[in-house]
Amino acid sequence: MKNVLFVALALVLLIVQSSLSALVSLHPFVPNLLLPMVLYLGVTPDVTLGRGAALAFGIGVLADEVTGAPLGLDTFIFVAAFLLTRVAGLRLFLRGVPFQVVATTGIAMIAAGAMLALCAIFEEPEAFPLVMPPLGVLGTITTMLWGEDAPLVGRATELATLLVATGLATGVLSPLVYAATRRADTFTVRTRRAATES
Amino acid sequence: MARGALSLLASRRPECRARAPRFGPVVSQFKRIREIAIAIALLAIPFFVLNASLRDPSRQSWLDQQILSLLSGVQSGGTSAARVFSQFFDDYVYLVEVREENARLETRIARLEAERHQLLDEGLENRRLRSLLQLRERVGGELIAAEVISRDIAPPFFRVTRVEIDRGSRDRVRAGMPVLSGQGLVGLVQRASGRSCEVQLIVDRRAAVDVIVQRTGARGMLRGTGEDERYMARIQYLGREDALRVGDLVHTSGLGQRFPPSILVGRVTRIVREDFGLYQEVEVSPAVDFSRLEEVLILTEGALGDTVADVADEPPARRP
Repeated sequence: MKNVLFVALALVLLIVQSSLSALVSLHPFVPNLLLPMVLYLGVTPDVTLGRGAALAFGIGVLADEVTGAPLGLDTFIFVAAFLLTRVAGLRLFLRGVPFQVVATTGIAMIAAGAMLALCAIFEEPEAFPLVMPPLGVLGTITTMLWGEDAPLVGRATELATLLVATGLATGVLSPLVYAATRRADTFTVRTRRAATES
Repeated sequence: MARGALSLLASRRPECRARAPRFGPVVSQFKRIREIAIAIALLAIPFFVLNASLRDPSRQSWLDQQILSLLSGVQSGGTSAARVFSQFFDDYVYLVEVREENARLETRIARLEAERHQLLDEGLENRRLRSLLQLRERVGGELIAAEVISRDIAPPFFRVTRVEIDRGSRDRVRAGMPVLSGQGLVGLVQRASGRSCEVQLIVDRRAAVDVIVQRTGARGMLRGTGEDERYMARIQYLGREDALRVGDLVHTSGLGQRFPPSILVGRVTRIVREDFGLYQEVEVSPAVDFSRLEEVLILTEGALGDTVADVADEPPARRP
């Protein structure tokens, strides 16, 4: 029952995430709403290692299927995030919302970086991976400082912006996801308790 | 730690309590190893899948191809499920939009219907006012326009027996003045007060109008029947020799100066000629539909310049 509820919640979060991106142009602040859910599974002692990994795997497959990401990318990241959280033994939920936001932002940035790294490792290299630095004063300074290497700096800036923005967006929205996941978690406990009492 | 796991296991399942002292550590250890193995497998599978799916097809190994062929079935199932879900969601959204559009269209239809009724009403009013205007030009004299503000209704057929209009003595309206509408003669002002007056209809039992049949020129006195179920009047004192027909138009004669001449009063609907007597009995259906009467004209000054009320104030001449 609890597993089904978690998967259903993951589906809802995916729909929200996709609808949000379709309605409003969030780039580069694109949140990953499923990651906080996986982190919750990692820090909750009620969820065993095998069950948590399986849930993270299922959520990842769902994300890969729905978002159109390379098959296995989200799955690997989610299972890895779950295992790392479990090993690290973070107690996010005992330390309030600010800690949740900060910790989730950090982990989301690492996860986004891992995704980029995996794609870089397995995918064919891009034909033209360079990005021109932004126009204006910043671009001028970059070009003045680095000359011909300015496009490389532009690429690095773009990737860094992407990582930080994704991490921030995920971190800011994470308390809501944690609250929803906790509610789904306690719902099953309450239902079971009510059934036992009756 | 093993002892803790043992006690946990023992407390959860009573049937295991007996076995727990013997197999507890082994079971716990086995479960732990199994969970770690599952977790590693679940981490390894996506790694290999990712490796297989992202690698250049020309550089794929036999293992990559096996993984991809295994995945294609899974992915096909997933895609079908996603398509079904997406279709269901699309249908739901479509239905919601259809419902909203339906409500919007119903509101629009209601508004357009109201506008249509308003236009029809205005068209009818326009026609009535136009006919009143034509009447004003035809009758001459001084005419005051008025609106019907109330009606006396006679049950059970809801026949109008008397109307009240929004002009009174302040507008120089006095008792005895003729009241006309675009359709024809309505009646006489019976009583005038400050801002309104009562009108006696020509179908009232006490009403009397000197009339002439247009086709034959026959004259007679029209009197209301005051019937409950219909608007009707009779022409009295019409000689037997006058060859009237059903459908003949009846107008005011203008004699007696109570009413202006040539105002349509009604149409002959029934003629009764007895074998004896000097007169024939003629029923006339009034031209005015008193149930729908809304605007009227009051003739305050005669076409010849004399005040109609002055004439009306005189005692009516006795008829034979």
